Amino acid sequence: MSVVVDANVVVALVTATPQRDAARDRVTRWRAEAEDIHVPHLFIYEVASALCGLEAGGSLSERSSNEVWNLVDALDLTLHPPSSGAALVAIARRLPRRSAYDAAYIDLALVLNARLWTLDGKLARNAEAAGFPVTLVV
Amino acid sequence: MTSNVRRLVSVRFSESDYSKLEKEAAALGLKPAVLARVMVRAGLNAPREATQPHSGKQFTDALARIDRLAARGRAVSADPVGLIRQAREEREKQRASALSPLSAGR
Repeated sequence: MSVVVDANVVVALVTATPQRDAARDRVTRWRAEAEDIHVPHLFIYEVASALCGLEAGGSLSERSSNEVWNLVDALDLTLHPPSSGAALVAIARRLPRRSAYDAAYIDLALVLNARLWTLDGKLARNAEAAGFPVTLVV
Repeated sequence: MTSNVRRLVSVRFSESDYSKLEKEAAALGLKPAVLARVMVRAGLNAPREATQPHSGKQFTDALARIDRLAARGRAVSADPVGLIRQAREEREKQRASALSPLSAGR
C-alpha cells in the first residue's frame, strides 16, 4: 500500500512536542509494514526550509539536521512532480486556505489512490470536509 | 519428491502497484499474474540478507540517533506544523507581493 506524507511529520521528529511521539510511531509503523511512502517534490524544499530556519536560529544542531536527512534517505521516499498545474489549482479552490502547496500533497494522494497523512489539524479537517483523503496523525 | 499441487493465493494491489505490474508484464509479454508469481518466487528464493534491505537498518539506526539526541535535550521547542505552514505562507506572500504592483497598475 502507499501513503503520502506531509513534511511536518518528518520535521516533528526533531521537535520536543507531543506530535513527535505520534509522528515517530506512525513512521515506524509505515516502515515495519513496508508501506511505500510518497511525497511531492516540494517536500524536500519544505523540510530543508524548516531545518535551515531552525539551524539559523541556533535551535537545531548541524548534527541533528544531518540525522533528519539520514532518516529521510532511509525512508526510501518516492518523489513525484504534480500531475498538472490545473489539478493543483482545482484542488486549492476547494480548500479554505487556497494553498497550492497543500494541494500538491492532496493531488499526489488522489493520483496514487492513497491517503495524505499530516500533523496539520486544519488541513486535515478542511480537506476531509472537501472530500479529500487526508488523515491526521495522532 | 515435489508435489504438483498448486495453491491459489489472492493478493490485493493498490492501483499504482497494479498499473506498474501490468505495464511490466505487457513489456515482457506476460500476464500480470504470471509476472507476480515470478517475482514472488524470486523474492522467496533470494538470499535472506537481500530480503532485509540495507535501508531497514539505516532507518532503525537513524531513528535511534534522533531519539538519543532528543533524550539529551537536543530536540527543538518548535511547532512542526507551524514551521511548514510558515514555509508555505512565505511563498504565498511572495506571490501576493509579486502580484500587487500589477494589480495596482490596472
